[in-house]
Amino acid sequence: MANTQIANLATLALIVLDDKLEAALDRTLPDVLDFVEQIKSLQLDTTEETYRTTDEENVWREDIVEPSLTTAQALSNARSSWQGYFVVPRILNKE
Amino acid sequence: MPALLDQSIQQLRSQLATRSISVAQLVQESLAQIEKLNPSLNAFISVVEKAQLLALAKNMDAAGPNPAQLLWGIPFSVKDVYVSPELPTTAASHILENFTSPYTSTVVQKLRDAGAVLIGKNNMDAWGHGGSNENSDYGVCHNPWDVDRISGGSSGGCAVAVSTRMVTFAIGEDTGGSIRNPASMCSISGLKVTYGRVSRYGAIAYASSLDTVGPMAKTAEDLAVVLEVMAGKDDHDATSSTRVVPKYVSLLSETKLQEITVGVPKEFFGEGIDPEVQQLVQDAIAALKSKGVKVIDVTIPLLPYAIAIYYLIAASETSSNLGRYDGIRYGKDRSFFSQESARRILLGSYALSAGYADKLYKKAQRARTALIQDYEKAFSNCTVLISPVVPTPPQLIGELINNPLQNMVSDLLTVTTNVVGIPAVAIPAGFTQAGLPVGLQLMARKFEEPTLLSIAHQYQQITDWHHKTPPLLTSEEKT
Repeated sequence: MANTQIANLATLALIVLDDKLEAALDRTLPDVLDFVEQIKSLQLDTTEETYRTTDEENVWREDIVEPSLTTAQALSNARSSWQGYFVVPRILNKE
Repeated sequence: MPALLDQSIQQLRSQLATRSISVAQLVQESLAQIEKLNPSLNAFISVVEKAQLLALAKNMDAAGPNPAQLLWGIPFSVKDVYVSPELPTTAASHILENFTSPYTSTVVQKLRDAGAVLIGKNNMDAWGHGGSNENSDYGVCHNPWDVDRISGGSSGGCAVAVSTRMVTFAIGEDTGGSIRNPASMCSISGLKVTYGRVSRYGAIAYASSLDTVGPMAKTAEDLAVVLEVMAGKDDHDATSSTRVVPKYVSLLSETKLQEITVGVPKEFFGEGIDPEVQQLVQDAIAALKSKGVKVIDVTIPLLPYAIAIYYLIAASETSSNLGRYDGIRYGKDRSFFSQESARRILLGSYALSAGYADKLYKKAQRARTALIQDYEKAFSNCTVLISPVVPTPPQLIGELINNPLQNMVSDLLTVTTNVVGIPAVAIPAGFTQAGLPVGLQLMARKFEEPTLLSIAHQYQQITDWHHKTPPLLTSEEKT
């Protein structure tokens, strides 16, 4: 796996790569990927996927308002809030 | 040696009921043990303030025991993934260093409602990412049987807290072996429940199709008491099962060993499994045989692919779940992920990305189906399967964390039960020549926790491994 691939993957996954982390991942991630790719050798073309092992299906509830967090509770751990909103970094039209 | 916390839940309950001991005594013993041993073992990330706990104990003692509360007065701790407002919940990551949850997880609420006393939150591998408790931003957790060795993980702190009698029981979390691995390495009992048996509401998610919430304690009997309280349908968790919760405690002596067939899956005893570990599990099989259990050979042909199947599913799901840590609504930013966690997130992102999702993620989900079929076939001729829990005795600190592949492969014997959703219990099975703990694992069909716990309980009636305590518990009294 090329180092540029790791860097691209990190961009997609929003993983911050400082030099130390990038070097460690360059060193270790390719071997891990090679290892898990052994799954390709399994012949499973006619097997369906199983995504979950719960027996429950179609778990519904009534469409009524139930107790939940207050605005203050929901904002209680926010890095930055304003008048009941979470404040987020600007992503469009950055200077 | 903490005289009270060395006893079983039922023993403590009967003494509390007759008022011959008080909640205050239990809490004081717990805090004293933590004060004495936690600095060197690092089993706790946070502990409730002493004054607060003593005030709670005083109020409880004044009100008196409530027989309807199955865990009244019993001190417990939880892996630091279960949210509750009185302490931060960190998942052992700097990202959530100061995160104070505005709500309580269902498991903590249920235990509180049953009268149990929460003492603190345990150290773990961050986000559940690990099997050695070395991937913690709050320091390594040390094995009380040999402090230069790992406690196992990711629920390492829980295992250490129970093993050293800091608490009576702890709630761990098992996604690929994270209850059973440290239970084995610290010589305690730990239960991975059937997927959906216990609500995951308020448990910080690692891999949502694999995560389970489970008890860790000294004995199968204690596990049964705690499970009876924890299990059950929760409207907040749509994957939680509607099945009635059995009376696990009264079913402990129910299973007749002479009617049981134990399957020995040959792939779990192959190359790479330490000879001493294999011998101890074979000794356990012989002990069960002496009680009339039939033993047959079975096979789980897909075991060699288990790590690939597990890691592809787990990493994909964790890359998605950990996407919520953006530093905006809570926590610090993503630069605070550790190397191990970053690696799992990237592995997952790769496995889910266009061009690879079919070959990797979806392939792993098809392999899951095939693995379920392997287990169904194995269980068609036997009641439970038996195996070691981890391939080797506890490694020295530093060995696994610096070798990602070796670290992954050490999960081989536990990951399949999470992938297929079945329950498994780990219990003490002896010690190596060097005095290191070795556990055994029993696996059963979905919702057969009563059978697992009964066999484990009866094994604990004919062996005494589970009574042994780490030498450092008694050595400090000699100095």
